[in-house]
Amino acid sequence: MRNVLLLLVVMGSLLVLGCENKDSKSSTDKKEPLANVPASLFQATKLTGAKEVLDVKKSANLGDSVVVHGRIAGGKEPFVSGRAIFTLADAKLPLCSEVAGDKCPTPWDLCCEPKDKLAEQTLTVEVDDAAGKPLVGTLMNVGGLAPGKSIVVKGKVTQKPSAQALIIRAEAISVGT
Amino acid sequence: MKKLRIRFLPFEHAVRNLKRSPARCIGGLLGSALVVLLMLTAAGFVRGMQSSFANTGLEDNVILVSAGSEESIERSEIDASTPNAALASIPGIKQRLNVPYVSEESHVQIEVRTTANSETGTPALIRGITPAALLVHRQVRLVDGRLPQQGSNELMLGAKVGSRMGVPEQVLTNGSTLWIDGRAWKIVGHFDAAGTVMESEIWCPLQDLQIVNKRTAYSCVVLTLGDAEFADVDAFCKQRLDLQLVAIRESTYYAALKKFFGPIRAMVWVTAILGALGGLFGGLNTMYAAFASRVRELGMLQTLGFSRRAIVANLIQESVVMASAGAILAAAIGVVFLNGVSVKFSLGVFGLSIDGPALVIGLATGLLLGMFGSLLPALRCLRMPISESLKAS
Repeated sequence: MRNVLLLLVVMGSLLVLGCENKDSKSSTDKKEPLANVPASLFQATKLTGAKEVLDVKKSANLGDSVVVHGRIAGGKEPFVSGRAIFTLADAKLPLCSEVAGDKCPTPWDLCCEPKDKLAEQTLTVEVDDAAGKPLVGTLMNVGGLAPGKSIVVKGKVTQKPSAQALIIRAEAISVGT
Repeated sequence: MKKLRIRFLPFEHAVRNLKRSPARCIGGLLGSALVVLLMLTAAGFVRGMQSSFANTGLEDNVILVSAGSEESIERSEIDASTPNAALASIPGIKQRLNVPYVSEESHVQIEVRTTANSETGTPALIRGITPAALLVHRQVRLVDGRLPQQGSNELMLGAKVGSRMGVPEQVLTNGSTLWIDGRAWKIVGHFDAAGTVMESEIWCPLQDLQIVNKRTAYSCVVLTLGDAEFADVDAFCKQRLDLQLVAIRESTYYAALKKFFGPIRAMVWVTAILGALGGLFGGLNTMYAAFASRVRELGMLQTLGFSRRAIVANLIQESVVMASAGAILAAAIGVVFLNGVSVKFSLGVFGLSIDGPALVIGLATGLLLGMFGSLLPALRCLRMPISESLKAS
């Protein structure tokens, strides 16, 4: 009986050794550190005088101060992992969840829209440090920011690499319509 | 009076019993070898496919593809200005002697023919590259010949292209010709890539492939992180929305592909386990017959004072020795004949991998077969009262 038990233990050990290694958690499963934003960034009251994303992209120039209204959208992951940057889409672009019968798990990716139209009606928002570089850490879930959320951003246009790319350094954000 | 305590039967008794019926012993050995070989093949298939994907994606490589094409590089089209824009905007990309690890590539599935007159060709993945591809894809090693030169319709073949196309190696030597898009392409070199999916690819100069494909856009840019982090590349993509890019780690891309083939791996395991169970139940019948013919011997052993437990243990030892011998034979066959055998699938070719874990699974199967294949027959034969078993013929 002891021999049988010993054999069972050996077998069990062999099976454990022989089993496939469970895939280790990918880097995306690790909890992202949050960006340490200034306390004054998020405003309790809605910022006024906001223009839509498309209007801002057409009229704003480098160095201009702007107030823009939009939705955090424009891709499956609108927040950059590890940097205080996200994309903001024009509020007139419907989320996939607003299209009848669409059960897209990431409605903020706006996959129903043509890519050129999406590029035309999205811009980039950054929260920078004193040196002008984006803060380290994600902005997701900071101050109520989440994919699909409607927000108003007040800031300065810091980069305009092309006609379709515009980057705003945020100075104040109000969340919600 | 001290109670006489009878211990277990000696191990040699089990081994000597195997020699009593050589034919039955060889039959049992070959039967268990076949079952173990089936499990080894399944394990080798799963391990080979997994390591093929795992080795292909390097953790510090990042692929830039067009938004919406994250699951298939071949469907991606990105602007030709992307490599320079990435290099200018992302500090810390790996460099060697001022040469950045940035590889712009085109990935296309095209039919390849071995002769000009072939009616049908074999679809193959052709990757258009620049010399920087050898910096970025560090698993790739030129084993003979040279890199193909631009403008000369030259190709470099991965080690498993022959298996992928189903043609002998002699047809694909340096100097031979393959026909792509109605034109002759000369093979000038071969490479291997540490068992990755790249070994079933054909590589050629990027611009030559763009001419064939009639497009100037690239499929992707692959870059290697040095001091830069993935977040820097992701930030670049979200700052240059005009380029419509998405950044994926190469390891993440191939992990997703591996997951896509998960149901196939599961089916392979289910098939192998069902086969093994079939072998087990077939073996049970054989063992019932074998033990039934030894009922008198078992009765005699009980008369001598050996307990039923001791006899069952000895019968199991006998069966385990036989099954283990079969498992070792199967392991030897697996390592010598099966290891590295090419298996074709939609993305290319991989080799069966009879490695450590696969061998452990095979040997464990042999042990299990030996144990459970004899347990029930042994218990059944020992249920008979001693007086009846001694009278059995």
